[in-house]
Amino acid sequence: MKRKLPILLLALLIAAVFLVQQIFFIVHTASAVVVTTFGKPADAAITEPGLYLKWPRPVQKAYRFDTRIQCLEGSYEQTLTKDGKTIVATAYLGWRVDEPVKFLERVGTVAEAERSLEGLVRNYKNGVIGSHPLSHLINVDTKALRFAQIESEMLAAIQPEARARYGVEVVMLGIRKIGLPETITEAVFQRMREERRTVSERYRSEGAKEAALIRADADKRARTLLADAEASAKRIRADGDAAAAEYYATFEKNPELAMFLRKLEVLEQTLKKKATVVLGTDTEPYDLLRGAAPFAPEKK
Amino acid sequence: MTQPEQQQQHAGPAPRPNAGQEPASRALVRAFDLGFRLLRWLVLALVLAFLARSAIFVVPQHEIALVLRFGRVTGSADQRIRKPGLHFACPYPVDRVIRVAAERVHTIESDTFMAGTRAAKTAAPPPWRRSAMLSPDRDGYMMTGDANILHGKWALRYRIAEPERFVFNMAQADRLLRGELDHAIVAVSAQSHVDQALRTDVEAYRGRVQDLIRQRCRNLQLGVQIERVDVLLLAPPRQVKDAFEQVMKAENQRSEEISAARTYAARVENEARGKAARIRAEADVYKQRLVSSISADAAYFNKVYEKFAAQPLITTQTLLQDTLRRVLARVEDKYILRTTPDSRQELRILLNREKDRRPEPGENTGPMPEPKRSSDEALFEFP
Repeated sequence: MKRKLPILLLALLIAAVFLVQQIFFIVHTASAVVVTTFGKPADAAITEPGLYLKWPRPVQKAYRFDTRIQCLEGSYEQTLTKDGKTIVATAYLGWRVDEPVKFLERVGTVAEAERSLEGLVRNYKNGVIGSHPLSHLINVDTKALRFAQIESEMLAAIQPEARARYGVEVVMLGIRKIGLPETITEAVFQRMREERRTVSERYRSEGAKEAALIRADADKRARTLLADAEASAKRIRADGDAAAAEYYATFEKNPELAMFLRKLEVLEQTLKKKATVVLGTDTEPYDLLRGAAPFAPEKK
Repeated sequence: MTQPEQQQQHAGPAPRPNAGQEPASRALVRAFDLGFRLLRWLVLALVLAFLARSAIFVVPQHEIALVLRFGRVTGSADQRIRKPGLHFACPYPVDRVIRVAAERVHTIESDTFMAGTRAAKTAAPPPWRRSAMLSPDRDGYMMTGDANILHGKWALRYRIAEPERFVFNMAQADRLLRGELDHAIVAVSAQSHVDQALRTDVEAYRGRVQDLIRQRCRNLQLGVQIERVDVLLLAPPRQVKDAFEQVMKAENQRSEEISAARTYAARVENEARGKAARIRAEADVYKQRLVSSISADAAYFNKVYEKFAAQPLITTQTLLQDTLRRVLARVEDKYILRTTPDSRQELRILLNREKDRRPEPGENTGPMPEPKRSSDEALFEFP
């Protein structure tokens, strides 16, 4: 009997663990547990974290749900815009289990919920995009762009239905991809090439134009600078002449003497080494060469 | 009773039904016994190891940890987050430890907008079947506001700023953040010019994507701090690559032309400034020279005038004679002709005699021909 004791204890331990697992359950933060009694769910889910008790199976069963944001990517498929353009767009959304009891009843699993939500996203994506022209989705004019509005419209449409039908709160929604049908891309490429050609041409002509403008401007500035300099040089010279004129009054005392001095100066400046000078003996002091005595002998 | 004693008891008084099989069965029993004992110790060790593993834990330097007791985060306000170091917790299932690499910068790369990304996952077409088109099933791309197509590869770098929000708000953080990154890229591309996005304003384009994703993550309270959004690659589709390269060439050409013109402008302007300065300087010099010369003349005149007033004839004659002396002393050729009141003399002067002229090659260097009277010769007649 003594030897059977450990085996008995082990069996009891296993039974206890099994029982504990059956009657205790933990509700983690950011999760919810719905307890069903003979398959009938309780009125409200347990969302407060902690340790809870329940009857073991098959009386009660605990269904655990993650209440954190789950991510769902919608399908990438064609949609028509209001102005008849075909585009390909994908929306993705973040959702979380909001009403666990309803979620358990209506969909039960995350995979099933995603399948159902995907259908909702498809419907409302097509509906909302179909009520806007393409220029609301892509546009360089931010005032005409309605990108955020389109997303909000889709979100606003999906939210109540997701909550009412599946007990799911759609937290956010975004357009994750916008594309064009394959056949249209070739036409787009052709247009892009044309645009690039135009842009190239514009750059080339702009370059030539701007260079010409810069050169012309530089020439103009240079001419202005020179003209200004000439004008101020003229003023400076005039100042000089005016200042010089003040001295002319000095010469008024005896103009003949002034002219005489000036002539002497001219003589000095103009007769250089290589000049040839021919003088008559009547020019002083060469009159001495004629033998003319300046002074008559006082006594004869 | 100790185990060796038990063993001895087993081995000692046991019945011996068959003497030939006895040693073999004894050995078998002993082996089983040993095996069971070893197994017992092993189980005990495993249980202890498990308890120790879940009771004592180390948080490395780049991580933090949250301890959940029966699903609820333990600790008061500032002790909820376990910093790096050694920590204790009750064994599973009472406590559960969640580790978060909060100090690390996490990176999420998105190749949603690259060509052939889906093809790589499914059946990639061989290079010789490359299409002139882009298939939405196979190729990703961004649509710009001016309806152009661009490929891009992006990276989102973030840190976990609020670990509790990060852990308890998102079930699949990577998937959600990649979705947010793609969404921000699509939304910002949809309002950008292709030229701005690709070349002229890449930084602003990138910045707008970063701002948008920051704002969205803040609103959703995801507990992440967006460090940076990086553009790893931006390129036009290969189908129109040449056209884009032509634009770049044209732009380079434009820049070159403009910079050549700017160089020209700088040179012309500098030259003009130099010239203008010279013109002004010359005028200044003229003015100074004129004024100083005239003032010197006036001073000289005043001095001479004083003497002239006293002795006019002597003064003028002295000045004249002095000047002639100085001037004629340096003049090489001086001719003094005797003149009388009734004399008539003819004097011939050869103008432009070019004394020092070097003969041109082939020029006749013979004796100078007889001078002829021509228009070059002037006749001075002295009375």
